[in-house]
Order: sequence, then structure tokens, then C-alpha cells
Amino acid sequence: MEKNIEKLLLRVEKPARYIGGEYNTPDMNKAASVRFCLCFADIYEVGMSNLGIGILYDILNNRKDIVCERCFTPWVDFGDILKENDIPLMSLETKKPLKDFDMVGFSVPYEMSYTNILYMLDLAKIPFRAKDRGEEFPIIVGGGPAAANPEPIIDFFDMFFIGEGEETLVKVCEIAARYKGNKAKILAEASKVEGVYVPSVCEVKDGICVTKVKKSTVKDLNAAHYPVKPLVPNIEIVHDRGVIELFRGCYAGCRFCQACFYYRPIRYREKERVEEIAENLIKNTGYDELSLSSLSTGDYEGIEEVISSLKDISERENVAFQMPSLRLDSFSKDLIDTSRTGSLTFAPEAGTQRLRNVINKNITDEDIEKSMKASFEAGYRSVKLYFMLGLPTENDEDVLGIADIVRRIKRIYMETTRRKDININVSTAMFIPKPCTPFQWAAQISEEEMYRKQNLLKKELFSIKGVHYSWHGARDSVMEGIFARGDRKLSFVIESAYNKGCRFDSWSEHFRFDKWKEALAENDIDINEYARERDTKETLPWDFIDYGVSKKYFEKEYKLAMEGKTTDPCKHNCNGCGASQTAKCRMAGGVCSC
Amino acid sequence: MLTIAFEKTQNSVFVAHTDILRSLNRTFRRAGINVGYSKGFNRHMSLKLTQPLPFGVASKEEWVTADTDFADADLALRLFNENCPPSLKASRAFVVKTNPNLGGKVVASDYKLYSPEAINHKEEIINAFNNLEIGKKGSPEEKINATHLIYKADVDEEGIYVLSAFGNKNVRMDMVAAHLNALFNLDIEVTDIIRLTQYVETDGKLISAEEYVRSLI
Repeated sequence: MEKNIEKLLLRVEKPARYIGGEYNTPDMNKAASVRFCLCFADIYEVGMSNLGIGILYDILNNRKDIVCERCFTPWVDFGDILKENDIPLMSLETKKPLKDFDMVGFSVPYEMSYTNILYMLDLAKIPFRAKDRGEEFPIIVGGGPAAANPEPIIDFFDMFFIGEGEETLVKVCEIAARYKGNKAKILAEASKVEGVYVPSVCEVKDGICVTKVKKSTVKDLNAAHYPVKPLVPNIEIVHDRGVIELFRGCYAGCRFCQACFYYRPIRYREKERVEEIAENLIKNTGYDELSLSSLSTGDYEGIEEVISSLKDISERENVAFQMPSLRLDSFSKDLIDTSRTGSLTFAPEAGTQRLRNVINKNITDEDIEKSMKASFEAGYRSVKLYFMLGLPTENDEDVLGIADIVRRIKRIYMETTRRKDININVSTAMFIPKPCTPFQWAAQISEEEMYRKQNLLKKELFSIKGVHYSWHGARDSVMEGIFARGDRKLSFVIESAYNKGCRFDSWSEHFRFDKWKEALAENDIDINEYARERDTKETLPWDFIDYGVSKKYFEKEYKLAMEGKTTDPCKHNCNGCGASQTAKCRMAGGVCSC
Repeated sequence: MLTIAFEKTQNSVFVAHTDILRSLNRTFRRAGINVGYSKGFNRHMSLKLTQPLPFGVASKEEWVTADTDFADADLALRLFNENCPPSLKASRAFVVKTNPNLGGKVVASDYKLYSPEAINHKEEIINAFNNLEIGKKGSPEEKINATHLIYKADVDEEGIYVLSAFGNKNVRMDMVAAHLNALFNLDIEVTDIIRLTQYVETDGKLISAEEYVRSLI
């Protein structure tokens, strides 16, 4: 590493974030026709915990003709130092300035990371807007969960990947190699690839894109590439373990959940493949903990057989298997026996059966109680419960219902264990209507109403011993709500906010609501315009995206929600959501009524 | 027991001690060297290291002892190096009968402080070690007299060589560098400092940690 950068690293917190050199780093010196820098709009510890980054990095570097490096948002101390010393933001592996790459790709994990994209572009000395970048700048691409509605940030990108990027990204890199030096040609050819959204070649009417873009979907997940020699970080990261992705999509159909619908249809990695990945990960990383990851791990068909075979590996290799995202309706003692956590986490989401029916969270009070009893019998003394506030049709009875659930859990604990020392951690987030969900038309409650509900619940929970309550901020929920269903006008708000000093907005110590409000006002943006309920006849900014799941299906589900009616999970019978038009769906035996 | 000498150079100087321990843990696992675990709920791999250096200081010789029945030192060395991060390469491995407890036994270390300008002040620098008052980390205005903890000092074309106390009585080389920088307008950064060897005391004299470990084979 250059001496001047070494000296600067001594002045920052956790300099190991910026050094690279991890075990399993691929060959960065091979001849390559495309040099790609994969960026994540948050710090190293968060980005390296992201499976998508790991998959894309591995896929690209496995290609003989592509070198992929990484860059994460530098923490503010290092960012300031780079600026003071006029050093452009560079990649981790070879310390190459970002602007010297052929392509720079941003994985955008959440709406409140938008200013970090501008922060990185600014540090890299790359103009923010695509229209201001000539041939001398790399092609800037985006993707990740924010791709469900990229409109608020689309002006900053030359192209955006909608859906799963594993196959799409390679095709686009091939195009970039073929037409190197001719950005317009690259963009024109890339726009023909399924899943690639190139705004410059799309038609726009009244500020809304009208050229259809179909989400790209990996057809055969079992055969799809999976990194079995991933980078092993030199420092502790948020999820410091190996990850095995069991399946994609979710059959539950909770109406608020974007991931459930966005990652449909449901596709599996088979048991033998899971075992193969587990063995290779352990051998190649040395991790003593692996996580079985999916939206709802307990719902994996044959999970008991998988656990049984992984138990053998666990004992032989002294490895623990984590199972996050256990649903209360598919929970069993077998699932927790393998896990080595101190507490279990569940997400009932709503305090009453009525509201759970509205959001289609098909769990009953009996499911909750049965799962809690099983947990306590297994020896757990601590549970975490996630709920949402501000859900459509929610009333105060629903909010107070959360406290009732907590009291019932405490009673079950005392009856099961004859002890009083339970720890119940309750966490609430604010409901945010998201595109690609049945609730994409629902209103978001006001900031004042958010505080009122939080205080109502706080008062109840604080009176119960052994309960700790934490809540997600109202103000960042307001901003997230604006961006989630935002349009192209918001790029000016994001730029204004960044110029006022906003960055790391998902970090509470950095989030500056006052600056965001100034940015909104300067750009004549009315919060209520974005928080309001939408008419189902309205054209939405993201309507041009074909998610597979049809808008008609979302509308039907929204109507059912307002009537308080549920839809059965599609595990045994297809509900006709439309997702299997993008790839074959595992559920309902593959028999689709779409 | 397996005792391995490894270097901590390049990027590893920026990695904290607990993270180095985690890296070593994973290195042994990848290498297929079965190391025992502690008992209790929160089990951890039984690895013993010598005391950590200040952040940013490199080292040609760090030691780790693993509680294992692995009996082939040459094979252990090869497997370690095939499975370690690039900046934690091992140079020697020994199968020993008992835990050398280097963490408790090491009492001295020698270092090189790289500075091409130092040779211009050779005599003054050597004299400065005869009356060495250095600041404490965190409160540099609070001075301590470390003269008696410096066992040898010399200057050559590359920089300054120092043999000093390490372990229970410890001289921080980063604070020595800061002191010399102030006195002689040198520009020694923490990353210009490298530890060369560690020493234990037997029968009133210093022997290298390697010599001591070899006596336990």
C-alpha cells in the first residue's frame, strides 16, 4: 500500500475496512477486457454481510476476462481525509481510482443509502448525473433491493438492473467489452437484455417511464452459481459467518412484504446442493458458524432432512447452524435445537388477529403460544418480537394488542419454566407502503400519528417487567416512505440534501431530518403527496416494471385486505399471482393457475 | 502442542488483535489442524498468543500456540501457510511437549525503526536512550522514565535498532518514535516500526523465544 495512504489510515477508525487482502481474494492481475468495481452504499462491515455482493463478486471474478474489485462507502472520517488530501475514492483490492474502471456498479440496499451513492461518486470525482458524464467516465450501473423502484435515483445511473443480477450482469459486461469506448452503443445493446433498464433509451410521459422493463429471474436456482470460496473478512462484520441461501421467494404472501413478491417465483436449492455448499464453505473459509438463509427458512420443504444431514456436518466440523427468519406457523423444536443462539426472534407484526388478517400474516394466537412454549421448553430465556405500527386499518386496540401478546408470552414462560426471569425484546418499525406489494396504494401515517402510537405502546410495555422496547425512528420512516414510492423529481431532493451534508442516513447519529426538510422545501416537494393513499387507477412511477406478479393480483389482494380477508399461502394451491411467467414456481407442485 | 512463529506485516498492521486471533482461528480450521476448544457455553479455540503490539506496528515474529495433537511440524507449517491470509505467513513451526506460555515468559523484544535521516544524528540518538523520558499513550504530556527498560540501541543506514523490555514491563515503540521525532525532527511513523525478535529470560540472560521453544521439543 502506498506510504501516504498508510499514514492516513492511522488517523481513522477501523482502518482495516479499507485494506482488502482478505483470504480467498481472487487474482486481480489477470488480463481483463472489463474491469468492474462493485460498490455497496454503506460501510465495509455492512456490505460484506450482503450475500448479493458476494455472489456477484464471485461470478464476475470467475470469468477469465473480467476483474471485479470492491468499494464500500468510507466512513466520514476517512471520507474527510480523502477530500482534504485530494485522493480519489479507490477500490479495495488494487487501490485503483473508481473513475478508472470500465464500469462501476452500486448495490443499493435501502432507500436511506441514496446519499451514500452521491458521497461515493463525489469522492470518486465522478459527476452525479448520467447526462453530465462523457466517455471519460465509467458506466455507472445500479441494482439491489432498491431496484423495485429505482425512479428517485435513476438520473444518477446509466443503467439499472431490475431483479436478479447474476446472469444479467455478465451479459452486460460482455457487451461492455465488445463495444468498449462507445457508451451509447453499450447502453443501446444493454437495453435489449432482460432486466436491464436504460433510462436514456426509454420513453417518458409526464415524468414517468412508459417503456416496459421485465424483471430478470434466475430460472434454475439449484444450478445457479454460488460462491463456495468467498472472501473471509479480516475484521468482524455484521453477519460474520458463512451463508447458504436455501430458496428465493416466499409463499406466505404477507401484504406489506416487498421481498416476498419481488423475489417470486419460489425456487429452491435442493438438499444435496445445500449439503455440497455447506461442506465447501466450511473447508474454504474456516467459519464455525453457517446461516441457512431465506425469507422463511422453516418453510423449506424437507427442512427436517436438511437439518438432520447438517447436524452430522455440525458435529464432525464443530460448526453451528443459524436459522434466522423462523415463522411462527412453521416453527418446531427441531429447528431450534441446531441453532446456537441466545435468543429466538419472531415477527408477529400485528397485535390482533384482525390486523394480522388484513396484512395476511397467517398466524394465529395459538401459533404464537405453541411456538413460545416450544422455545421455553428448549431452554430459551429470551425472545425478540418484531411488530409494525401504522399498518392499514390499524386502530389503538391493535396497538395495545401487542402488549397483550407480550403479557401472554410472559405468562406462558412462567407456566412452562416456573421462573420469572424472561427477557422479551419488542421492536417496532413503522409501516412503509412499498412498490410491488398489495399495499403499494395504502397511505402512510403522519409523523405525529407515528409518535402517538409509539407512546401509546411504550406506556403499556414499560409497565411489564422483563420487557425491553425499541422502536424505529419516525422521521427516517417518513423519508423512507417518500423514496419508496417516489418519482424522478426526488433526485433533486437527494442532491440538495447531500450538498447540505446528508450522508449515512440509515445511521441515527448522522440522519438530519432538518436538512432533508430543507431539501424538500427547496424543491417544492410536499411530503403528503407521497404519503397519501393512491387510487388504484393511478399510474404509478414503477408501473413500467414487469415484476412477474401482476398489478391485477396486487389490486385483488389490496381489496381483500380492506375487507379483512386472508389469502391462503400458495404452498399447496396456486393463487395465480403471475410470478411463474418469469420462471417455474416450486410451490403448488409447479402447477400454476397464472 | 504446536507453536508457530508468524509475521504480521503489510495490511495486517491495521487489523486489531482480536481480529488477528479470529483469522488464526479460521486458518487452523481451514488447514484441518484440529485444535482443542475451551469448555463452557461460549467455547473458543484454545490459542495462546504473545502480547499485542501497538496498532500499526509490524512484526517479523509473532507466536501462537495451539492446543493440538498434530505431530508433524513441517506439515503444520505448510498447511498453515496454504490457508492463512497473505500478510500472516508463518516462518517456523514446532511440536512441543508443553505450553511454552510465551505470553507470560516473553520479557523483551527488539525492533527496527526505519528512518534514513537517523544516521545523521547517530550519537545524539544513542545518547537520548541513556536518559529516555517518553510520554504515555493517551496522555503524552505525562512522562515516564524508560531508560532502565532499554537494553540496547544502535543506529545504522536504515534506521534505529532498539532492544527493550516487552511484556509485563513494556516500552511502547510508537511513543519512543514520537519522542525521537520531537527531538531530532525525524519522521518515523508507526508503520515504519517492525518487531524483529522476542526474548525470554533464563538464568538471568535473554534468549530468543525460538531457542526457548526448541528446548521444549
